[in-house]
Amino acid sequence: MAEKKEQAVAKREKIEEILSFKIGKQEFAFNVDSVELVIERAEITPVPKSRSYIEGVMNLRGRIVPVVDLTKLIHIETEADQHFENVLIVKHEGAEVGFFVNEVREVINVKESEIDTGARTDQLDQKVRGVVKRGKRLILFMDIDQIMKACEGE
Amino acid sequence: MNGEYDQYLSTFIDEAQEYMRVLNDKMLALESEPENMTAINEIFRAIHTLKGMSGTMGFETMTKLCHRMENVFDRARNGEIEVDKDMMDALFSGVDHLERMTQSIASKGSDSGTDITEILAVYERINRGEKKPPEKKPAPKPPTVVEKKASKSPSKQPKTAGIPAETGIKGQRKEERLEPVKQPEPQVQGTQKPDYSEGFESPIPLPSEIQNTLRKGIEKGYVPYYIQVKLTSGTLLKGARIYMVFHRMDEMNSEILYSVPDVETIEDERFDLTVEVVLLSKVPQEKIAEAILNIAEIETVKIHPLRFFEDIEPESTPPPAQVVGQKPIESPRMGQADLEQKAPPVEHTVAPSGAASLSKTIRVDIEKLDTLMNLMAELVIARSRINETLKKYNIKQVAESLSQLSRITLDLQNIVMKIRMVPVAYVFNRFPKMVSELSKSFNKEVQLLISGQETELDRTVVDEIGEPLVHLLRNVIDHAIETKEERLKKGKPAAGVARLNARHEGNTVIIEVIDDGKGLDRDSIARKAIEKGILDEPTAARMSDEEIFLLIFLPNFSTKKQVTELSGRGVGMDVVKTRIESLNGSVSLESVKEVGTKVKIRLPLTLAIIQALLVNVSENVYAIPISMIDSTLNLPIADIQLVQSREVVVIRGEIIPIIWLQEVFGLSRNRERQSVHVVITRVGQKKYGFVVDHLLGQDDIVIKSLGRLFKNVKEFSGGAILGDGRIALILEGTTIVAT
Repeated sequence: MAEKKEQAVAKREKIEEILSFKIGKQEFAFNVDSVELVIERAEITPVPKSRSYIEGVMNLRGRIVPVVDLTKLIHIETEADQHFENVLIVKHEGAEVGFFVNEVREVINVKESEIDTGARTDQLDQKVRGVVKRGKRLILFMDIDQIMKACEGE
Repeated sequence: MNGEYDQYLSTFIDEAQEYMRVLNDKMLALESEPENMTAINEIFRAIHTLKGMSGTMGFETMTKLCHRMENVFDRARNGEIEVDKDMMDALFSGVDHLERMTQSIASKGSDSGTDITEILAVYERINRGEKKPPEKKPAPKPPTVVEKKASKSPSKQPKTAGIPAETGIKGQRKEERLEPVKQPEPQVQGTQKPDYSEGFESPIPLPSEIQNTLRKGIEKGYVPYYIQVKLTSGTLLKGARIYMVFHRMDEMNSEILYSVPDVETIEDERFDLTVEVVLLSKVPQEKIAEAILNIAEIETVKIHPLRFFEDIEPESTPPPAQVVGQKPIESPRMGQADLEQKAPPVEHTVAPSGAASLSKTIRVDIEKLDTLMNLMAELVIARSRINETLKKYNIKQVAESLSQLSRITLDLQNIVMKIRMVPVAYVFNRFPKMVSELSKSFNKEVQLLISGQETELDRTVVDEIGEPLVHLLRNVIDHAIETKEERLKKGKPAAGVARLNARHEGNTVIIEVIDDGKGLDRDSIARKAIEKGILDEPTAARMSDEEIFLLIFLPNFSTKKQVTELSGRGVGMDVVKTRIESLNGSVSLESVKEVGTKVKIRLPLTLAIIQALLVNVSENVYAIPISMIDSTLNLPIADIQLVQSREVVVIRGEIIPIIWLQEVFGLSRNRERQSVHVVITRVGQKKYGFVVDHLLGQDDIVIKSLGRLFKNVKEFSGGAILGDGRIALILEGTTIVAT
């Protein structure tokens, strides 16, 4: 079923739905399929000896879910003194990971041709699929596979 | 593939594995006790069901193999061929093939690709009776014919005996499947030779023309009944009474087709007290029984519908319980006529055990149980929250309901825990075969003695311990147990003994692997350790035997000079240790040279819930499993001494190293206090004192994995969600003391 649908779309042009969110002033996006939910930040329990980008674990409806600071994971500069209010829960290959975000913005339909892969910076090369332009906004469309791998320290 | 098929397929695989487990089990029983008819019957039933199942699913190769194996068992239980090693080996190999097919079905959805021609040829040879023993009776017919006959007549026999529940007096249903039918011998003489090759499952033999009438009656919507009427003893005018019975049946539009004795004999009153009748009727059996019982001087009435099985291929359909009815144990070679009377009571004794082991259980996907477990945990947490909130208001009525809710939750939690428990037999069962094969391939004689296989453990734990135990047993056979010649030279019995014991000990389960082999050689282990640079000579000399033995659990440590195919690759013991520890268990080892070795595995009853002491360290809560705690104490800072620049405390003459958890976690220690809380833990064979900020109390915690993101963090074995929703990380002792 899913395959058929994709093939039909491919005849025209592949369209991806992405969810955009802001960390500091930078806007990012994940493929909407991998986003499970967005919740308010709850109590986070730090885990000693874990990697620096892991903020700790939180209790998500009885499950223990790690919370990651994306800015530390991909080494990008945002304003100092971040206070994150929300956690974006991503589910990928059965594993759930929460990411700190300031604000979740919207779901955008993006044609493949609109993803600018040329603008990838050296630092981000692997983890970013490309940049999506929407008016003045520049959205970094993240590759969730690579992000999850990076989270696991690979 | 559609979902429904997939669902059937997974059920099929589950069940096939279950039956193969039974097969294995019973075949081992049979191997050690070739006369064990119960085992052979159970084997027959299992293989038969397996054949039916695979046939239904369309796995032809599997069906074919099952069929041939069934034939062999069938002939064996008929006493036509002898249960011997040759036959058992061939059958074990058959089970191996079946296992491989099941795996292939599980992975590829097909049983093709397994070549069974060779094994089928072996069965054919066995079926022909071509074997060494000279006293062996050659099979009377060529193979193909033999097969047909062998499977047909005997498997039919049981059905003749399998009679559905009878309706006794006043229509009560009886539990036992049948009562031995007392057949008045003299009367049988008058009747025709019974045609037993096909037809109805009837306690009295029915001539073929009656069978035909019955069949026609069924087509017209009649039900055939077997009725046994017994007159009160001392009845006068017996003929008249029975005439009244017949008359009452006639009134109910029922047709009497056949009676034993026949009408003439009844009229002459040449019979004892019992008359048996085959009846076609549309009236429910209770009504018939009631009507007959209303007649005076009738003591009992037994009635049940007759079952028909002509046209049903004997080996394809009947449910396992039906196949149970067996050949009489005492004289497997007796003729048909004897069987008619002897088969029923035998079935009576055989059936219950087999049937009971297959019913009363249902299969549940372990994932569903995990989900249930998670929901359970959430429920517990939700309850605690309500509790906390209500403390502020102090409403009595609610408090009562809440305490009831608490009790229910607790009960529910216990039940969920119990559902997840399975006996260790699940893993132990495959070891006898493995040990016998391995010892053959190492050319050693090893006897495996298992005890406590009914000990229950969480399903997840049971799944996980299989591999470590395989390792340990392989080590026993490969390294520990000497060759026969060596053993005899040492004055030991030729056959080595490996013991596998399981038992409960408090809140843990102990599994021991004990052998009477050569034991660990302290010197050779020490030498090896020195060679590998793990130790220097003076240290080695100072170490106790026990400490030296523990070295074999280090990664890449193997003392066997020659690497064998199965063990001794240097990955054995450390894997065992890691695996057991990942289950929150521990491994210890005792060994005496030339006497043997004992590996003791201690496992928590369940992975999911453990008892833990909750402690505070720098604002956060941590859980220390009770299983590793020795004691707790409040220690004045002044009592902490320095020995070789390590902090220790001396308790009852024992020097215990002190570990500040704050420092382990990369925080600075709180130096202002005069005294600290210390949790004395036991890690491996040693004690350590963990310094914590506060002791918060003991609690049952549900262990959850921290997930892949924390695989580099070895200090914690997992996390638990506490009643107030907070998360406590669970300390992993071994790593913490190593830092």
